[in-house]
Amino acid sequence: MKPIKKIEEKIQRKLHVSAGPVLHDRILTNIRLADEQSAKTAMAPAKPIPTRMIRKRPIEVFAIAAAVVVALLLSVRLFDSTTNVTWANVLEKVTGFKTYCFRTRQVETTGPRPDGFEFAKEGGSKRYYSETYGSFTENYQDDGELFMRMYTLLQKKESVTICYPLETYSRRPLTAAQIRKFHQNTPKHPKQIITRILEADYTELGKAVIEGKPVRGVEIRDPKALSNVPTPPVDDFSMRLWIDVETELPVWVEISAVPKGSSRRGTKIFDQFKWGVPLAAALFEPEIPAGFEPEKPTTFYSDSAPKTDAAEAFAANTQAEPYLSDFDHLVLPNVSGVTLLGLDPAKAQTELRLRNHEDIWRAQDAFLAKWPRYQEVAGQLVGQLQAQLGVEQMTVEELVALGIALRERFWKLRGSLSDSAYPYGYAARLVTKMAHEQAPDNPAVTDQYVESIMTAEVCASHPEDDQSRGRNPVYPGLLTDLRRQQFERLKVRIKQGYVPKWKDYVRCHDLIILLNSHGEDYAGALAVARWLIAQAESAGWTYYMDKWLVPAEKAFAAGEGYRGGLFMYDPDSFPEENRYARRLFSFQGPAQRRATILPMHLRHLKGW
Amino acid sequence: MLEDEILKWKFKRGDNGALTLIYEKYLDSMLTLAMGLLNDAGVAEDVVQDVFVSFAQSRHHFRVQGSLSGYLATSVVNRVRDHQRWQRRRALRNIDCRPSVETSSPEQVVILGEQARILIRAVSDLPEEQREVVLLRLKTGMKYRDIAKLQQTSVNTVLSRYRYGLERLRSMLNGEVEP
Repeated sequence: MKPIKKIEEKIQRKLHVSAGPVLHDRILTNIRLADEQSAKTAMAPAKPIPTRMIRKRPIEVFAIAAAVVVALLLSVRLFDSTTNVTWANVLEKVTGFKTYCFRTRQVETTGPRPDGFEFAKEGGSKRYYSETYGSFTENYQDDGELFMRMYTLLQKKESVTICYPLETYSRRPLTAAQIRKFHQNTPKHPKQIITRILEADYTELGKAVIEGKPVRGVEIRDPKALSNVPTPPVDDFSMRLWIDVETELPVWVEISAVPKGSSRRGTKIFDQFKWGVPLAAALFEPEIPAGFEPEKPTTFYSDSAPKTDAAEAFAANTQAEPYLSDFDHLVLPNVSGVTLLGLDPAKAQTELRLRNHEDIWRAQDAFLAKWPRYQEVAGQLVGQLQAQLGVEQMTVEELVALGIALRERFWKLRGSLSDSAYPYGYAARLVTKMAHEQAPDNPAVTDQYVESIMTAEVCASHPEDDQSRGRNPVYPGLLTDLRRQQFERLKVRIKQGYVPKWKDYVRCHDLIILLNSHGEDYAGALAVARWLIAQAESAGWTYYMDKWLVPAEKAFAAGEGYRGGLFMYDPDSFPEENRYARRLFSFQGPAQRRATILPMHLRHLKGW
Repeated sequence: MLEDEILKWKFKRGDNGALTLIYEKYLDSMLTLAMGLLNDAGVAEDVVQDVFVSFAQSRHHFRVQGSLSGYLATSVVNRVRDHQRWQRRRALRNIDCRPSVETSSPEQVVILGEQARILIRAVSDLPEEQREVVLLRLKTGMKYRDIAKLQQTSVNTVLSRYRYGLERLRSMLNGEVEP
């Protein structure tokens, strides 16, 4: 008779039911319908419990900011001109406190910007500091629910973390270095930030009112003041300190920065300070709820993480080979003076307010519907490109460099969310096609052609009813042909001793997606999947085997389509990635996006 | 699990991609659970569809502290119980009031192998409570104390049901399923 253990294993492994494509799609359609209907009839989101410590929504933050501005304007009347603050007193007082607590919030916003985005997300925590006992932090989720408690216990020399949603906890010993660092205060610590602001060359902000209290503020705009170590480059930076005029104690500290080239502004706010408040020892005694289990070590992607120098080198040469590195050395021509199809790129763009990816896609569909098709204007574009740039006399590398520059111009003009960007996208396609025709056996040049096509062509439209989704014929047509050509050439090269690289996986992956999703050629997709499986050991992409390749092979062998990915993608791509989402996974988009699309489990590798 | 926390957060924020990811991630396991509890592909489909549709509609008041898998599995169990109650009432009255709807054959929509068929048949022969415990524990990984809460009984009773359930399955399946 079978032991009980075997029965357990049997049920776990063999009792498995899957939804067929018909059922899968039917339920998904109904879910989306229900979701849309509920969105239309939804009441206003429930307000968080008023007693929650973290309760400010972005809109409230902006409201407070607005209140500060208004108060600034009125400040001359609100305060006696003789009111004075001795900033040296502030510094002395702050550094003297041995205990204090405060609230901290991280608000990330994008826009409103000329290219359309306006999003915000927020997280927060309440922190208690004691030079005797250590620190205690409570983290809250976006909806105000307790997410995590973290303790740095100086006397017990350990750190404890309790994660409430996961019902887990961890205990780790504190090293001497960690304890030393705790007493030194890191630059993220408000006490340290206040010290740095007041020791720097600050500018007075004047008077204002925060939560009913008269305050005065100072500001610095030099990011070097925050840290002694070099800080990442920024497009904008400010640190502000507001103190209570009466007590001369900080009530609001804020660090705000826009990383260089980024569309996102991150703002960290420290407020609700209580300086010198008595903090009982009991506050620093973690209570682990009954039933919580010790946290298991995280093993994400461990099977592909290189473990030795040799493995690291192998991974760097194969998996992490930069997709477009073949042309990174090229100097891009300046195309800002190139005018195509009589459109004025300087003309003001339609103003957009996009709040989610549905908005982005629908706006994109509206723009794409107004553009002429590529075939309608290609002839005219060739003549204009020849007249202005002499493209017919260019070498392969010159054409590729021009193609990249034209693509970047397309994105700078708002890409698919624009009335005037398309001639540059189409021109990029034209010149990279010319390069491909000169060098048909060079897969890197073909990649450039593929990228240029996808720049101005999305896979499908996204109509309101979601039923009449329009597929773009260039995907099952030209793009499939190009990827198939690369695949056939790759097979020949491998027979000649070539070791395939991650880049080849990307190309084959594209071909599978094109055959599967766009062409419904499952036999063709099966052949490519089997070939990838056969190459997995030597090429180093075994990571994808169990997760995607084997299930895909099974589905194709059964004559069915495969819905899963064959590729890692970043689940945290909300919100701006959605702008580029309806293209193949290999799609690079603007240069500044490239670094963010490396598969997550390879991001530790340098060179990307 | 951390991925689920991100998905929950995004779902609540109105991200439709998160809803689809949750659906893709849990569709098969919830279908397996429903099939195991009901041994009826047509009803299992309806149950799973109802669960996901309700889940989608719950976005604006969504508050789940535990695991997503546990939440969805509990919803499946509750709907299966509703269906079974409705069926018992119908049997008592001997009236079929279910509207006649033409649907595609279950074989077209649900995919399961021969071994899974044998296992489902065996599991469906277990008493209701034992069936729930075995499936919730082994197919969704739900904790015993959460199952106890769902069945409104003690953890010890749940452990006994689990043990008895597996013992019965062992005798039923002896030699029937390939190792």
